[in-house]
Amino acid sequence: MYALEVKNLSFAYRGEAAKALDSVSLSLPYGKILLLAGASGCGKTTLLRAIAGLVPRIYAGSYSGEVLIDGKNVLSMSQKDLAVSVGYVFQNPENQLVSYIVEREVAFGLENLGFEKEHIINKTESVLKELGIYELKDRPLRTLSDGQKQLVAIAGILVMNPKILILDEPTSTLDPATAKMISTKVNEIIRNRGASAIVVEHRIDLFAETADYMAVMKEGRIAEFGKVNEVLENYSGTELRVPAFIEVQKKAYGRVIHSRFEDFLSGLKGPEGRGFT
Amino acid sequence: MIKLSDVYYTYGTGYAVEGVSLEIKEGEATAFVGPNGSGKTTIAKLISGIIKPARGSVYVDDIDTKKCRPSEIIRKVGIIFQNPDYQLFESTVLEEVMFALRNMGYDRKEAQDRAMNALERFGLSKYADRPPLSLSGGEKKRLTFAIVYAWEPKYIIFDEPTVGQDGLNLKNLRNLLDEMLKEGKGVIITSHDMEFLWPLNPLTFVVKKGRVVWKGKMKDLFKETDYRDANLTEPQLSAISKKLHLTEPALSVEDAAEVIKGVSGI
Repeated sequence: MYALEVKNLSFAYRGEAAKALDSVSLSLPYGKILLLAGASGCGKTTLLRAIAGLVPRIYAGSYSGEVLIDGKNVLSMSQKDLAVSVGYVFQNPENQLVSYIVEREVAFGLENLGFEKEHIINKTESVLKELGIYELKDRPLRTLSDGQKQLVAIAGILVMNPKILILDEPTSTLDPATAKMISTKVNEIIRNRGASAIVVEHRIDLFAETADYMAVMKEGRIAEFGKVNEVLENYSGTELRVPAFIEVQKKAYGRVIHSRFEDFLSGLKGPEGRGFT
Repeated sequence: MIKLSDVYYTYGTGYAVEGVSLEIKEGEATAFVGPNGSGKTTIAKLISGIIKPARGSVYVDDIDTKKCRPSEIIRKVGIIFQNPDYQLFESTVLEEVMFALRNMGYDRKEAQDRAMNALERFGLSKYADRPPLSLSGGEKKRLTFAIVYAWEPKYIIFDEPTVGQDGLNLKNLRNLLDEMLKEGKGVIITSHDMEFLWPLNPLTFVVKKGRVVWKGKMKDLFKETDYRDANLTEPQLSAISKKLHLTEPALSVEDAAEVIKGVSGI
């Protein structure tokens, strides 16, 4: 059984002739991270919405095929089951944060789902510690930096212990060092918990090194799927922002030898006798 | 030329911009980089005349921004904000582009012609009759480029133009910047995106806590040791160039690949 299976899923938003998703199939094993890429408007967000059950529950339209989480069809799951199975972190934390104080914010989802007070307090405390933001627990959200806000948003989702974590461009509003911190943290936590994650990112360099698989969508279809370096090696389109060191390898060696930048860099040799460093 | 002399600005507590002096030339690319909240966007707003300095002066060509209306400055300095949703409000894409033109005194016919040209330039003419907010994120971003491009300001400020943009949009943006520079316009970019800025090799101002802490061509920025303090990440081509002991760093993938081929005898 897979953490996630999408079987022959097609969907068109109500009132639109074109299919936003066209016969999409993919499977994601437990504990693995999938990097989902593709041009703006290729159907990435629609696929994420379908996995979270928002398509077709909130966004209506013509729907065929199925989405299974842990073997269960998302359409037959209760709202509560779905909320604890799939955690959805939006692009901009501002769209997701509703409370005044960090601790209240992280507890909000569990409170809504009617858990016992003690359970909520314990869970909230442990997730804040897990993300390294426990010392922020009494701070008003407005006093936090953008990176801290994104961590709080992620904490508010992780506290529900989702089987699948969905991150829709989680770092797009952050500066590079903070973005790197978030991607490292997400990777660490997913691995520790044995959960699965789907990450949509235009800056694929941030997750290319930590993701297990990569899918490229095009016009509502899965155009490429496989290990990250294989997908990047075969990729010849223009929609993706391929990291510079991958492009350099393709041009210099005709193939992608290293999928990690550090490995590529340590394999490089400078010509003898040049003094510059 | 745009000239800032000992500029201070405050939003109420402390200075957001503190004693900044600098010059920006037309026909050149200029970048402001630094951590979130360092004052990059405030400097951009000061340059575009949206806000006026509390102390010091900002001159755009020979106009003192303190002594004229924002509408006079905006003809010369267009600014494109990071989040397109904040600047779109008309009922159709065409009217959105025409709005500023009409405000500047263009008659309806000329405003429409200019607007359609700009939409054509950014591949949006097919959406002329659609509501702006119905466009996708990337399309909305392109629409904000078209709006400013329509009145052909001498300087254009791009505030974080690469955020949320896919590879294709970035290539188009790069082509647009190259064209504008060839036309002799001043291109001013605030960005965290060193990978995008690197091939452009702009005159770079590193801004930290409201002050300019480093100034120079971007190719020289990462030779210095303190760039990490400003939350900057070194572009891969810069790190590769160092490893290859290049005296002048490779600014393009092609240049780096050529050197590697030469070294390894491929």
